[in-house]
Amino acid sequence: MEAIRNYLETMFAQMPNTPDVRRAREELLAMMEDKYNELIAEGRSDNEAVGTVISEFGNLSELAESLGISYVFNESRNTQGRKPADMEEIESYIETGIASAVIISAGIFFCIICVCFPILLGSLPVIPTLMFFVSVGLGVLLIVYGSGMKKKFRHLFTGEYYLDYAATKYVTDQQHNFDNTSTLLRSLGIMLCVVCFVPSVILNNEVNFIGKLSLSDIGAALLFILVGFGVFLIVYSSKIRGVFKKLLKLNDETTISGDYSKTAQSETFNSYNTNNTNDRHAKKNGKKAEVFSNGMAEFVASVYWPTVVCLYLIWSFQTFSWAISWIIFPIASAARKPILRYLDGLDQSKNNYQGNSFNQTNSFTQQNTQQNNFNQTGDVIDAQYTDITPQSSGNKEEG
Amino acid sequence: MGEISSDVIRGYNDTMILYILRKGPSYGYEIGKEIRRISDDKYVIKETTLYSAFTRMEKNGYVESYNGEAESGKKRTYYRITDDGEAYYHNKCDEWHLTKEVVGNFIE
Repeated sequence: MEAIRNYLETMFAQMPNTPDVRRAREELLAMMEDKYNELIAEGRSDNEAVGTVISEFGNLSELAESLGISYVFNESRNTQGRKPADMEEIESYIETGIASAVIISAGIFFCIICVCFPILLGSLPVIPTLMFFVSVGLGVLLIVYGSGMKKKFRHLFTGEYYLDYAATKYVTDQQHNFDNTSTLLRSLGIMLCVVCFVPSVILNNEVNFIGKLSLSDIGAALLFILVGFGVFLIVYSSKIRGVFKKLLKLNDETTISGDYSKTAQSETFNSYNTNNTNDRHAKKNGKKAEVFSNGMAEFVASVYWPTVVCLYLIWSFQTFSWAISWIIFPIASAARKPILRYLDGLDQSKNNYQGNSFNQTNSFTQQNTQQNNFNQTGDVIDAQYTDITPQSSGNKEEG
Repeated sequence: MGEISSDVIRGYNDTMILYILRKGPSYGYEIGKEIRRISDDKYVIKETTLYSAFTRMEKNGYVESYNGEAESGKKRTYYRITDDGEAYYHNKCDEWHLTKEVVGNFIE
């Protein structure tokens, strides 16, 4: 069965990613599965069944006209000029991406904690200043080095390559595996940033503790170390997310294998009635994580962060409470999603009332952005194995 | 006897499908199987031929598709014939009788 699926995937790999093509692929797969299952139930071997199914499949060019994709067959494939990216290269890109994420995050960490040296070793001559610059220098060095690591893969992203089915599956699987870790790391990072001031509040004692070092100095140093770690985790997880996203972006609507992971979810088996406008909308939705169904939410989303920064600066300069005013950022970050979702939802219910189905598609896609379509397909196929009805009529082999 | 030339039979794939759908709604694989059975295994319709016939006829309004569930709970796209499809079927039957008559005059 896997062989049949691969065969179909290969046939469709260079097809444009339109709803009609996706539907055709689903339908053909269903027919081939039915045939395969029945042949197996008749006692054929796997090889025999696969051979028969593939030999009776026909030719995709037959579908060209009815699917409105004749141009794919008329134009030479080479005009598209894109070739599938090499699997080994993809693996090595992911590896390098992870290494580069660690190095860049570490660089940022050193840049943040550099101030700890003057704070902790302030009583000594020269050394703290020296350490300060060493730390900053090391940080900058790491950031520069880490950013340069991925340069050798630049050719992957010049538009010559796309991901074939297997590669897309590999990348989405990897992305999936990292999803939980990433969420954990990010929350941990944000938490560290939020609680960073706690040590300096507790250790609020100017009395010398060790030598000339007071407790409040240690508290201040801890603040930077905690922020450093927090930022390290946040940057690390977002960098790795970026690696997967960038790879998956190699695919667009001209290569069917790729966008499957994102846009195909809006067209499940039972949403055939989606018209083209709807689909275009859904597609846009799949590519960008956030597309709002109404202007209000979109507007708020676009001015959100600038407004937060303005508020932060106004508050800080008015009261000079820099020590606490930064908390506006974690709060704003946490509140952003609920606010936008609320605004989006408001308009959604209104539009639905008017009989507009746009937003249903919208929210559906949004909810499913994280889901992996390939897994879904896999489940369906497994379920179909049970749908075998033995046939007694003696079919003879064709040809 | 050799295989049926797909060029010759192309014009009548729709007729065969409509004939089967007149007996009741059906889905892709079952229709293909019926065509094979009724033709006594002499004609095996290709999946791509079958599917392009579905889309073409749906566009022309001869058949309608809807989602149904098989006994096993598997989701399937079912097709059923419309009134236009019924009329089209009868036209094709008349056409065939004429074709058979005309071509028959030249067959030894």
